[in-house]
Amino acid sequence: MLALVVDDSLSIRLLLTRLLQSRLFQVEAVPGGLAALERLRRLPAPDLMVLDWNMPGMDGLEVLSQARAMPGLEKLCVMMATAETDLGQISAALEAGVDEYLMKPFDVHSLDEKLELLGFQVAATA
Amino acid sequence: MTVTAANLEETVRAVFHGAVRMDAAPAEAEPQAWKPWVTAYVTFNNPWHSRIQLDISLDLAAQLASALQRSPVPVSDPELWQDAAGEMANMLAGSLRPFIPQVLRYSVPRVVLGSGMAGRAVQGPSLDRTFLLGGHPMRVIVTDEGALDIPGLGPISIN
Repeated sequence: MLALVVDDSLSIRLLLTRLLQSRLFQVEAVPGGLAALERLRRLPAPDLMVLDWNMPGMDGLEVLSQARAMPGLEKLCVMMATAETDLGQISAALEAGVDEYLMKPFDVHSLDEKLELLGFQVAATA
Repeated sequence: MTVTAANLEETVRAVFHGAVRMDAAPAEAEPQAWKPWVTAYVTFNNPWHSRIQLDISLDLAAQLASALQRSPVPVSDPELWQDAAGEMANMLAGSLRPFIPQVLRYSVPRVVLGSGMAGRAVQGPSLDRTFLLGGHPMRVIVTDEGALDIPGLGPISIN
């Protein structure tokens, strides 16, 4: 399983990378929307994209919109990991095609729960 | 709905406990000068230009960076210290957003380093609370820089 982490925060990229690797994902991490789209145009396609919403330049919703229009990414699961807690915003993200929503701050248990909801088998190594 | 002292304190406690497993307790006394310091802030795009600001010492920023990474060893990269301060301000902004009216978006966090007394200049009505976190003082400010049409009139409720 391959995961792409997209977050402008280095701390969050490192944290998510470590947590996902401990759940047996191979992980690539990029700091912004343009880099994410560039990566999504290449193979292999990720199985999962963990996407921040509020990023400089291109925000997560724009990344999502463009990713959903790319051929070959029909099976890509998108988990929006964001500090946004406003219910209207969460609804907007789900309507835009987000599969699951992970609220920051999060812990490994909430990440596991979302991964399982997306159909990934969570097997911790640490 | 407005930001009050009570919901600010509750939000700060919840965010820091959730993100870094540290308990933020309101402090009785104002913080003394510390140096060097880190200010991280996020601006809301509402008519009052509301802003959430976090003032912490560089020592606390380093501690937050380690805790955010769940790292048993101290994180030594100053870039990560600043990033952790910014990310904590970002999480506070996201959690406070429902209490702040007419917000469509908020900015990505900005981080400023300095020395001497902490804090950017604060204009307009503000809520200003000091906490103790991991033995360090932490100042959290929610401020309105002033309405465009009615200067000084904002959503902050001071009680």
